[in-house]
Amino acid sequence: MKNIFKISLLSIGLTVYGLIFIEVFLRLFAPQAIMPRHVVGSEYGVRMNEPGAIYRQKTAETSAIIHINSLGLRGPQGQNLEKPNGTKRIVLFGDSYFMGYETDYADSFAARLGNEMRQRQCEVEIVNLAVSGFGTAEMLRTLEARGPDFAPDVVLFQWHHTDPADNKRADLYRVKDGTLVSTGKNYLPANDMRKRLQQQPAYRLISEHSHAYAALREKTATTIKNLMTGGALVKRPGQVASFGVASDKMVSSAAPQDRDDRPPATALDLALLDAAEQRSFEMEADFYVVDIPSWHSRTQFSSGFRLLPDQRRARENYLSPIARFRKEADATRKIYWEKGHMHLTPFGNQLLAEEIASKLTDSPQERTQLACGPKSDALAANAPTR
Amino acid sequence: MLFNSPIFLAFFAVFFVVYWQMAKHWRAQNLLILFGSWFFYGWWDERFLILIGLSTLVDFISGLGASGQRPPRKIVHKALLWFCSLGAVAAFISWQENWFLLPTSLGLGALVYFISGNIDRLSGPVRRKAWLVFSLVTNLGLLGVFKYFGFFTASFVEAFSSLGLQINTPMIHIILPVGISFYTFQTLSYTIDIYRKEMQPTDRFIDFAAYVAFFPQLIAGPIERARRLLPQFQAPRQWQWRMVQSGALLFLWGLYKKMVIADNLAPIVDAAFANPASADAALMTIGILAFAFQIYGDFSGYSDMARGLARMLGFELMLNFRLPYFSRTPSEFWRRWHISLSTWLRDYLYIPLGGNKGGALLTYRNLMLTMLLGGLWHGAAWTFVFWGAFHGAILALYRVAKIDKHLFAVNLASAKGIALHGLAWLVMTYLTLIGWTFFRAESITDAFAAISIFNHGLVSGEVFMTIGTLEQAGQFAFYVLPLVFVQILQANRQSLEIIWDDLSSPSPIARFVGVNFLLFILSSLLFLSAQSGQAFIYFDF
Repeated sequence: MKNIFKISLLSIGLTVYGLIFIEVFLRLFAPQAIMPRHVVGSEYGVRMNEPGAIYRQKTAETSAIIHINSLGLRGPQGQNLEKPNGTKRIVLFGDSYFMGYETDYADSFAARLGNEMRQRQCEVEIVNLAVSGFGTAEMLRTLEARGPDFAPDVVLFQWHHTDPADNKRADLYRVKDGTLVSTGKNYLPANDMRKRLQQQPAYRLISEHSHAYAALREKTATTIKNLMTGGALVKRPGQVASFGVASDKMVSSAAPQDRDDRPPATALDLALLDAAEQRSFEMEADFYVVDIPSWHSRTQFSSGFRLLPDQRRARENYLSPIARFRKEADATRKIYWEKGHMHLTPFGNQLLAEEIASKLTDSPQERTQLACGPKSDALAANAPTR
Repeated sequence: MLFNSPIFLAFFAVFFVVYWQMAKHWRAQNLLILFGSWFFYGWWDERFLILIGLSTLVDFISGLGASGQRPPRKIVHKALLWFCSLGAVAAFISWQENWFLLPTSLGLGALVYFISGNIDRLSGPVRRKAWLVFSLVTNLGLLGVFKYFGFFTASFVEAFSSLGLQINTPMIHIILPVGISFYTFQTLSYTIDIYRKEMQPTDRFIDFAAYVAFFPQLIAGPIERARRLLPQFQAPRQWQWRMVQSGALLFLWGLYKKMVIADNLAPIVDAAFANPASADAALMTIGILAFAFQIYGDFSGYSDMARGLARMLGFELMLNFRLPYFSRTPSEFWRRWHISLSTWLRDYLYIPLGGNKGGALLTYRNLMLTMLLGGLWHGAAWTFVFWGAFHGAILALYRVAKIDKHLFAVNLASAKGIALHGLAWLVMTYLTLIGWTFFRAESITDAFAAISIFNHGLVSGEVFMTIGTLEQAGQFAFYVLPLVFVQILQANRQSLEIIWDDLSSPSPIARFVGVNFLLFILSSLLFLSAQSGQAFIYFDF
């Protein structure tokens, strides 16, 4: 009995000591990205940002504060459902890129897009419905549930190479006889567990400050995602990995133009994008798909649109900043953070915002809802009806 | 299967449990080792099984013959049956692509049977010698065809074209079977030792085949001697918990050297050697230094993993590396680096050539020849030959100047001793780095370009001024310094398994230190392993 007690005590002691050791080790030799995520389950069956949440993200390169307003959006406090007079609404649907992870709000794509639009004489309000971890399926579900409340004039759907895997895993929609149908399921991964844990102050302290927790959580999440998608993800630079387990952002180590081993977008992915476009039109909003390229090095990127069929990516409302990224890329400055979760830096967000703003306002496509900008007068006269 | 892959860990976990369940039946354990090792080897490419099978078959029979006896027909038939069955299994794994393995194994089996029958008809010492020649021809023939055919053909064509003569040769793409340089040397040493009457052969094919194919050391050594390892297959292995613990620890340490040190240094080396002519002195210097530790981490890491795995199964493999970068002279270096190869070359090449018994000139010749062939063993490329020749030359030079004799006569504890040994170490380190440059460079031209930049940087002092600002210098220091620290402790405590020594020590303080060492290794493996796994360098040999 005494032996069992001694062994148990030793085991517990060693475990605690081991965790402390790992914490110190990581802080000294491999600082992790501390990226807590505050999401809750929504009534429409997918995650949403926890209203009122305020939390800090910290990596070896940067730190940022995330404020979520009462509507569950990352945006200015006091945002209302009702559209201000004389203002056009651009509603963003995306994941952590559109949410502006690893940057303060003022440096996020949403804020910079608003600035760029205003500089182009477009009085706009940006409504950011992006939620970290979302794929196209979750964005569509959110658009259907919340989009009409905001009366968007423009809908921007983010596209990234993680979307096909996320859409498959979410199992919110399927394609049946060529038509997109809802499965009727919810997708709230680990929601209950997270909810219970978030109520514990000790957990909140650890999740927001512990490097060991961040590293182990990242590895666990990636392993589970690997198992759920049945594929091996490639390691991401800046995120240490072992035994082939990688983090959640897939990055190729091959030159971008040589990499063809990612599966192309499936019928489900294309149907989701089409459905989102249709829902937007029904809300009388213009619809755009915005590419978030993948990082390979400071001067090499690959477009997420490579996963789409040629005809699809050639569409006028499919916007990619990749040409601009490649033009501005420089070995001395970063478009993506390299030691965190590979999100866009303020410089990267600015480039993206400039590109999207200029395409929204200068596009030769006949402008409809966004009747502002340099060519608005000429275009408005020829606006087609829906 | 790489040792640092999930599939191997799963394989070993199952193998380990099953193996020790059979602890009372060591012959059955040998059979399990044989099947497990052939499975392990066939996982790389099932076609390779025919080659290892052939080498095993020929040396098993030749060993019996080289001892002076006539190999019993029943035993020969049994061995042939094993070989042909192996060929059949390899063929059936992927019949559409590999159907030819069945007739090949049958044909080769028939050929071996025919040759062995004819050798058996000889009498007297000629018969013993014939068996030895049979083994030599088979094993060196395998090496010659699968490793050196392309190299010699290309060199042959190049030599003639430099004389203005164009020669057309058949272009045959031959895959280099992984581990062939190791197991052919291992089987050769068995037959040679029997011929020299230094050991007795075994008449149990399973024991011998398990010894040849033993998966922990099959792919990249150590190159074991039969008189050391084979007896371990012919006796029960005792389960000892301490043995399993120390083996697991040794495996982890090897894994750390491979995945944390070697693989993280690889990009630095690649960057420096991508275009040596245009690299700056600082990058070249760091690149050469990084390669020295990359190859050490890679190779000694693999050796430690092999020894650790073997120990967990109750076997003790020979030590292959003994702090080689502490060497002060070339001969000391070769007593510490790839010990299994250097002793093999000494015993089966250098000494048969005459060693140092034929006067100074013959000794230098023998040194050069041994090192040239040692270089060639590493790879079918002139850079490896040059590396071998370089080491042969410095060995000879040190012998001419009697440096070893004078240096080791000076007491290390004295001030003069510290200065002399320190200087000797610096010089040897420089020479080692020069040698590694040939080893790593893609061509002789690239090697000389790299060495020129390296030397210029040292002589002009440029490297000392700029190296501190180089990002790669910081990365190099980050990964290498912990290893250097541990190695200094190993040298100081005269033990290579200091972590195990501490963990198993009766002193609580030592155990606490050992726990911290272990946690450091585990944390490094979890969080500092390289982003992209690199192949083991010595798998190419």
